[in-house]
Order: sequence, then structure tokens, then C-alpha cells
Amino acid sequence: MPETYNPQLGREHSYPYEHQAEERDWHWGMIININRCINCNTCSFACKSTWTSGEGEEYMWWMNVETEPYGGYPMGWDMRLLDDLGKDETIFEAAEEGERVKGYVAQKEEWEYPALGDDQVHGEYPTGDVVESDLENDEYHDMWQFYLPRLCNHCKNPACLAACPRKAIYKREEDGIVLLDQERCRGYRKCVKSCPYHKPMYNPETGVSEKPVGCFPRIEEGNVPRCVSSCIGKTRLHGNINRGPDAGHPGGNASAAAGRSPVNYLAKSDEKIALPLYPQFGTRPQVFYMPPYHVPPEFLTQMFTPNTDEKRNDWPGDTFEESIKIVQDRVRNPSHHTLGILQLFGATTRLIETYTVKEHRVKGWDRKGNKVVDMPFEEEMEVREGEMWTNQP
Amino acid sequence: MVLQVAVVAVLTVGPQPLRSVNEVPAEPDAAAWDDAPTETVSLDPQQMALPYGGGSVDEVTVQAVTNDTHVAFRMEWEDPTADTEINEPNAYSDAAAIMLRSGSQPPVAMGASGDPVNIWYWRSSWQHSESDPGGDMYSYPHPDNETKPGQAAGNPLSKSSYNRYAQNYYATGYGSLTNAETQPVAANGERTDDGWAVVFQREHDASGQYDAAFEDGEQMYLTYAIWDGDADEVNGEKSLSYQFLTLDTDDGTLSAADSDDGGGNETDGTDGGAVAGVTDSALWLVGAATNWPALLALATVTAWLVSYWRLRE
Repeated sequence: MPETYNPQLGREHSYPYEHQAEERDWHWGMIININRCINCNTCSFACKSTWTSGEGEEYMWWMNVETEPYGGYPMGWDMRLLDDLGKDETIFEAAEEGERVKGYVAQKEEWEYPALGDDQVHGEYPTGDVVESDLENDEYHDMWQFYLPRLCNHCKNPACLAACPRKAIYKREEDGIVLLDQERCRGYRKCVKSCPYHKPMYNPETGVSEKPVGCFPRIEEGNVPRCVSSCIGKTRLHGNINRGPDAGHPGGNASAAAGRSPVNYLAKSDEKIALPLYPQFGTRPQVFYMPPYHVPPEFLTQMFTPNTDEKRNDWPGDTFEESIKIVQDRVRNPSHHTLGILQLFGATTRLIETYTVKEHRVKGWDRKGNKVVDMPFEEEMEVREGEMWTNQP
Repeated sequence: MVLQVAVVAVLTVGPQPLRSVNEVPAEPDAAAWDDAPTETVSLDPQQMALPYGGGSVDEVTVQAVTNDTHVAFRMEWEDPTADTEINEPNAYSDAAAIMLRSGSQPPVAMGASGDPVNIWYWRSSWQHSESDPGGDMYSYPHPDNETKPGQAAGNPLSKSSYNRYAQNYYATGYGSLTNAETQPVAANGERTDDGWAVVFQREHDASGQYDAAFEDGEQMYLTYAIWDGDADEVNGEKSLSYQFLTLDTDDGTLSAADSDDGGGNETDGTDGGAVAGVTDSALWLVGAATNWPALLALATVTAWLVSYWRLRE
């Protein structure tokens, strides 16, 4: 089985397919700021009404929001897989003889309660003094929960693609979006079984499986996916995760900034602030989360780091728990530059290819080099006199 | 692919006559089958291409009858549970298939590149499913032809109903199964006391590119596969016969494929002609051990590895 280097883990591991293309100039990628998510599920409904409104798709929530630590769709998906995997073992290495990827097919009942565990908190309601969070002294509030928006990660080592015996799943050359050919699929459900994030789903009405499509028609038009554009909390930024510091001007347009994309800066720069979900599975997911800063780092370490004793990747800190603490602090006290990029979240429905942060103004350009955002850090407050009394009795 | 190449030779079974009848039966319990000779074919788990699996059914009883225009095959096997629904993520259908080709014996691994085979496939859910998995939960806002992607794409497995209960496929190796443009095969499966009996039927003449031809006095090579839905068997997880039967279309004899008559399938010298079912890896190793080019290669690699390790120290 071919070996592939996984930068999220900082080591090589087996992956059943040779990479179709090692790196692309443009790759689908998303940043989600968990601290801003309020579990309104506008993203979930935007996705569902766009893509999975048909018969047989009733339980298909390609986009869903679950409450950590007790929620999960399908029920308990992450706890089960973490139980099944050894420490420092990817789903490819854990595969048993005769299969390509370790996984399981969630039963019908496990798909039927997408909101189970919603808003349940961790911890007991305090009987004595309430412990207030004092993050500088490592004190965390007794009770906590947070919302985790979940979607297809359009992985760089897609498990669904590796497991499909018919090669009905492919990763697009132009943008890395992972798609399932509806004509070629025979409903074997190997993708349903192998995806650790449980995003390929079986359609009992058509007898074949379906998987999230990354809103590819919108990407082709230069727009962000529906879950991003519909987000009322400005939790998300979407774009080219592969655009690094050495990239030139988009569209060859010298008036547009060159260099990194804003998503690449948040996920890959020295000031990394967004982390992949369960990188230990080994699929190189391309949705990156800005972790909640009020949650104890031990919990986040198993969720957003490889969670191994030895820290092998290039993330900050000497241990993964340290990485989490550093990133949490960056989220809580963002640098001026990061604060600028945060203004781009929800600022436009166009894909932002490059950007600049200068003083208190941030600008963004699309792939062709057209300017799509130009805004101050802080909008000026405007009070419309005529509406001063609207809410009075 | 290596494993596919390894399975170049197959074991053989005893001869079986094909019975000529006036009317080819479409029903598995038709009287015409009573007098037709039977052949028992042993089945093994599939272990040539990932995912491995199968093994729930260890033998299938096969018969064949023909007349001037049609040919029919009957398969009967034990399966205590009738799995006829695919309405949940974990629900898999019972199914059966015949792989066949005329002229020369094809690779047992569903053919190979440039070496196509014809496959007839029956699925119990097409014929016996009673469930309607969706459609009653809420009012669906968009037209079905836009919200049933499998159907919209014309996937032959996404039909709302089936009438021939069989599909006609071509394959050139694992993962290459393709729905044929022409669908001349019909099937009919019914429960027996302890399992399934399925009849496949087709006219001798078929126009499809790789349809098995029942004429010109050419030999027909046949092999069988069974899936048990109750054991979650689907795809490569199946019980199959590594042995080919032959059907003489002139005199109507169904008999063992001669392993020396493998056409172009034994030309790969790396296996030294060792007769091996892949299930019997020990046999395969013995075959490899008596193969002097393989030994030479092994010795070279070993010597290189030893010197490499020494250098590293």
C-alpha cells in the first residue's frame, strides 16, 4: 500500500490510492469560527433545501450542527470511532485484512435524531461557589458546551474515495472537491462505511449512495457555498486553502494583492488559528475550526489535534495541549492582522482569493483579481432618528 | 491486479449434460427442470480483490436447458433468510450472478483488460421488495426528477420498479462492471423450502457487444456467485466458484472446463502454471517455490536487503 506524508500528523502513513494529484493550485477549504456559532442551523437548512430535499434524502443532513460533548449525527459517531482506533492509528492503518479502511455503517436509527444532545452541557450545576473562567490561570468554568458545525471535509486523503471498489468517487483536478458519480455508484455503501465523518449517506429510494458536493456549481461561479453565504453569525470564510505566500497576483492582475489567501493564512501560517477536526483519522480534512476558548484544552486536544504523546507536526508548542492553549489564546486575543481577516467572514458571497490588511482597513480580491471587499475594521455607527421609538409601548 | 494475475488457472469439476426441451422454462419450479441433470458447484469466499468477503453459501446446484431459440440456467442454494429489502443503510439484498463467455476461458477475476466477460445478475429486492422507503414524511418541494439523483443520472439500479429482474453486464476486471446497452436477460427467483431457486433465461442470439454467444459450436465457460444479504454481503463480499463449467452448445453438454484450455489466461510465466485457487495460499506458495525465476528474484532481493542493512550500521 502506498505511503503518503500527512502534514497534519507530521508523519507518513499508508493510503490505499496513489494521489491523483499531489497538490493543486486551487483547493476547496473552509474556516469556521466556533466561538461565533449559535446553533441556529441556517447553514443546515440552506444546504438541505439546496441539495437534499427529495424522497429518500429525509435523513440526509450533509450540513449539520451538533452540540459538543454530547451531540452527534449519526449518534455517537466520533466516540465510536475513537474507541475503535488505537493511539496514533489512522483509519487506513487500522483496516482489517480484506478491507481498505476501518469504519462502520451507522444504522437507520442512528440517523434519525440529528438534534439529540442539543444544548446539553458538560458538568454539574455548581452547588457552592460558581467557578468563573480565568483563562490566564488555567481556570475553566465548571459547565461548558459548544456547537460544532459539521460537513464534508473534501479531504486530501479521502477515505470514501479510497474505499470505493468501483472508483465511483473522484477528487476534482481543478478544486479538490470530492464527488460521487450517481450513474456509476452501485450502492455497495463502502463510502458510507469508510468516511470517519459519516458524510456519504445511503439513499434507500434510489438504492445508491450520495455525498456532499461542496456546492461545486457555486464554486465554479466564484461564489462561496450556501452554508457559508447563509450564515447569519459570520462564522465562516471559504476559499483556496492551497494559496500560499509565494503565489502571484490573482488573474495576473497587478492591482490585486498577491500571496496567501485569507483561509490559508488562518490554517497554515505561523499564526495558525484554525485546526482540523480529528486529524488522527488520517484523511487530511480541509475544514478548519477556530476552537472555542472557554472549553478545557484537554477536551479540544482529542478533537482538534492528532492527540499523540509525541508531537510531530509543525503546530506551535511542545505538546498538543500546548498547541491548543496557544491557538485558543490567538482566538481570544487575535492579532491586528487576524482581526482584519476576521472582518472578511460573511463580508461577501464571492470567493476571496487574496487580501490585504492595512491599518484599519481590509480588502479582498477574487480569482480574476477583481476587488470584492473593501471595508473598515469597524463600521461607523449610524442611528436612524425615525426609528428611535419603534420598540416602545 | 497481482492477485488477479495469480489466479490464472482454475480447478475443474465433473461433466454435465445440457437438456434440450421444447419450451425453455421461465419458472424455477417448472416441470422441465425435474428431468434436467444437475451439477453441484462449490463456492468459496472472494479473496482476490478488496474488500474480501462472502462465504455464507458454500454450494450452488446448477442446471441448464435449451431449445432452438432459448437457453436457461437454474441455480438453487440454501439461504435461511429471504433478504429482499435495501431500504436502510444496513439492508442488503440476496443476489446471484452467472459469469459467462464463449470461445475461450476468461480470467475468473471478472475478466481482465481486453478480456471481457458477460455477467447476468439477479437481485431479490428487484423482484420481491415490498417496502417504499421514502415519500411520506412531508410534502416534497421539488419534482422527483430533480431530487432523485440516481434516477436523474439514469442509474440502472435506481429504477422505481423492475420487470425482468435481471441485468446484463460486461466487465473487464474488478471494479469495471458496466451495464450493457442491450438487456436481453430475464430472471425469476422464488423461495424454496430452505433457500432460493433462480432461473436466468435468454435467447441464443444477442446483439450486445460482449454478450455470450450460444452458437457456432463454440464452448461456453460459466462460473457462479451468490450474495447473502443477511450477512451484509455486497460487492466483492460474495461466495463464488473458482471453477468454470463448460457448455457445449453443439451437443448441449455442460462439463468441466479443462484447465489446459485456458486460452490466453496462462501465458503469464511468473506463476509457472501452478494450479491454485487463491483461497489456498499454501498451494500458491508451493507453486512459487518450484518456480526458479521467482526464487532467483527472491534471492537477489534478500541479498540486496542484507547488504543495505549492513551499510546502514
